Amino acid sequence: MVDAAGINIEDPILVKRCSQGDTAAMERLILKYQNRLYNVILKICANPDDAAELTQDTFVKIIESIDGFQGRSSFYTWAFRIAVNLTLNHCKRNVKIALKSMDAEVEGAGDLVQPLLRDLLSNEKAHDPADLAQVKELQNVAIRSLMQLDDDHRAVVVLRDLEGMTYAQIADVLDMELGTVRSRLSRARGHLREILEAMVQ
Amino acid sequence: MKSKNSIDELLSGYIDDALTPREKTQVRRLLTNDPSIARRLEQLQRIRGLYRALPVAQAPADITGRVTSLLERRTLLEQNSVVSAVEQRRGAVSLFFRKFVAAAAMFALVALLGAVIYSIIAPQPQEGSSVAGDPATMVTPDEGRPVESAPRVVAMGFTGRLELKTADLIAIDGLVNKAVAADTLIESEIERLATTSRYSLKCNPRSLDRLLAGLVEAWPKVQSARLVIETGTADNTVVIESVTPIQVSQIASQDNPDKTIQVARNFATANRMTDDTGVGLVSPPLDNMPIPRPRLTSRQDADLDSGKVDLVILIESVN
Repeated sequence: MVDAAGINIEDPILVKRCSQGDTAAMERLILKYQNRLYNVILKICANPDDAAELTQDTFVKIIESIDGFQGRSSFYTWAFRIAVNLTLNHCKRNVKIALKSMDAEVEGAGDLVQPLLRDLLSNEKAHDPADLAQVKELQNVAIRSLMQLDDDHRAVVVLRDLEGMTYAQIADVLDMELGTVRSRLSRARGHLREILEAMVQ
Repeated sequence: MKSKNSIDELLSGYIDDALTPREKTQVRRLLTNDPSIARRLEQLQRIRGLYRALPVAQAPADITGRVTSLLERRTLLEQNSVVSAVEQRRGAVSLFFRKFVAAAAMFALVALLGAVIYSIIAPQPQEGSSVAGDPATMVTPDEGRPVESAPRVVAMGFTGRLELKTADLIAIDGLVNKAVAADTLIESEIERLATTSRYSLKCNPRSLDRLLAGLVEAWPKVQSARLVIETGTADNTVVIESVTPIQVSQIASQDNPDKTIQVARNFATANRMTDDTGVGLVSPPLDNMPIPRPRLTSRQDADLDSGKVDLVILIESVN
């Protein structure tokens, strides 16, 4: 049984069993969240190897800290808070490497996707936006544009548009006010639009 | 007039359905009245669609295994750190124990050295092989501990007759004669007949002691030995059958007449019981019977030179 945000109501039971040393419950929690956590981490840090390591570190910290999980928030947001904090700290430590990698990718955007990107940003409806979004080259552009956001803005966009969290859940994960989430998300989207528009010029 | 940032925030919230009803009404009014805002909303929705359409990356297949092994490794490290702490504590305890043992051994060594030094410098009694017991250290069976030593006692000696019957008259007579001749302090009168020899001796207890010591080895050749203690009255005459040289010496070394009589009676009783039962050693039945100990001749011993022994030794040959 899954609620609107995709949170399985079995989480409290799994968490309780896991805190009692039930390895089967621990494995179920890992299997349940590993792809979603890995995806968010990867979209924030942009490195598959780092993302894999950060994902396993996240689960280790979750399991080691699960006795201290108070249940004031959901396990879902608690787990993502750990993951995002670990990832943002990792990004801050590796900021120079990330920027160098990002610059190289921006240079390689190429002319191939520019018409498609132009169509996406225009309202001419030459192409169906849903079809354009499936084009792999445009997806790569989207990822590279994400990398040009600062970490805090990128995290908000990833949690909202990729993970599908509500504003309240994002506020819980990032430990901020709802209004801050809304304004930060708006600014992040504005920056993304500017980045994408810059790519087609 | 709202700023561009405020409108963008409303539009962003609008596509996320995160506005209040009032804000939604406000957005709809803006969209109706301003086509540029409508185009911006559509562009915002397209861009959002691009990101929402990004495929979800699949985590490496072995995440579970990697997490499990990492947890196991950390657990082992924690256990090792705990073990290390325990080992450190054990090491400290062991070190303390070794120090304690070393200190104890040192104290024991010092005590041993002290005892050795004391044994060297302390006054030692002279080793003597006298046949006499030491009256100063007599013990009684009921007490089981030494009687307190008198500062210095004088052996009284006694008056009596020692009757010896032997198949080897020549040997026993010869030993007694030799002892008497060797000790100038013994006044003696000797009367020899065909089957008997009679020695009338006057000496101190020490001379008697030496004489008796010379007879110890030959005593097995004596078939019977009787000592008769005469104290001047018929009631105080004591006859001791199967008397031994040690018993004679012991009787002579008592420091007063009452003790002499008492010791003689105790020996008489003990020897009689031994003879009756045929057992070699019978415990004395009397509570106050003194048990002589081998005497050590020293300055602390009884004065054997001052007493007087008036003894007749009668040696009779039996075949």
